[in-house]
Amino acid sequence: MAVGVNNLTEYNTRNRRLFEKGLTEHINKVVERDIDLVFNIVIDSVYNWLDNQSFWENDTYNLYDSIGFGKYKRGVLWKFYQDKGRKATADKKVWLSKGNIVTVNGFELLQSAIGSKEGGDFAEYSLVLFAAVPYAEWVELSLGDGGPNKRGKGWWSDGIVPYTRKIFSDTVLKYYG
Amino acid sequence: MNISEIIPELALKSFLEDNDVTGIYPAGIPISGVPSEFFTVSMNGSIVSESEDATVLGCTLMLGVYVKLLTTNGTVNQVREKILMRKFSELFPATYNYEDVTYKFSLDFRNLVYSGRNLYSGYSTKALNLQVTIY
Repeated sequence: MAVGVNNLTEYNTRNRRLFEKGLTEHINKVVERDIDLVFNIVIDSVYNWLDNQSFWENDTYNLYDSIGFGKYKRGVLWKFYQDKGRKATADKKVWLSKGNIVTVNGFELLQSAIGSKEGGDFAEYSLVLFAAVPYAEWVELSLGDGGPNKRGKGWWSDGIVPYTRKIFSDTVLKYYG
Repeated sequence: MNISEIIPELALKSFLEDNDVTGIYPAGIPISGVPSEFFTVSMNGSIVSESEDATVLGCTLMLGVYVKLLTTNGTVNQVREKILMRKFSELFPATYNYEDVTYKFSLDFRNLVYSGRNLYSGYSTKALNLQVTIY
């Protein structure tokens, strides 16, 4: 009798391991592919939105170039998107107070993506939207001169972020709802 | 093994230099004197324990490979890129001892984190993830 119990235990253990292995492979191959599909649709849509946005007119395209996406898996960046071809013809130099000059380029954006804690903990798979230029927040809050119409005000909180969320929700519902 | 004393970036830099790879920057690219090809090593995510007693740790490093664009027409120097990628495919997987700690590096060639020419002016970039086991 005891032998029978032991055999059953081994049998269950083996089955559990096989099930876990199969489930892991399914997640890695099938679920991950579906998640990646949703992420790619969102990224394409947001870049289309950026091309047609009405919050500001691009002067140098450095704000546009600084917007990128990081795809994270368990807190590790596994794909990084910056833009679909650099649009700015030159890095933008920003003069901060006390004479400090900041040169804006995509490398800083990548470093921001890598160093970000936002991609780390909140989900198994995460899509994080970045805007790395130091004046992006100024444009958003209209702290600079912004021209007579305060152009660009709210571009982040009223523009790209709600749009990204909506596209994400719509895409998930369309394909998996 | 104290997790706070582990610096995988420096271990990888040391391993690469032992294998005649130079121009490795674990703390950002210098403003001047940048060579025609160089490499960045960065932590991607955090160090995690892979065993209950924390004797085995794991993390991911990102290796950035930067190659100067061709001066003749500003296109990607694909010949140099291929040579460097081939060299890395020969170097990894590898086991390396650094300051009494053993590191096992394996490069994930199936997934390029980034490939393009928009990250650093005048250079093309390929970014790859390295899985690191530490024990």
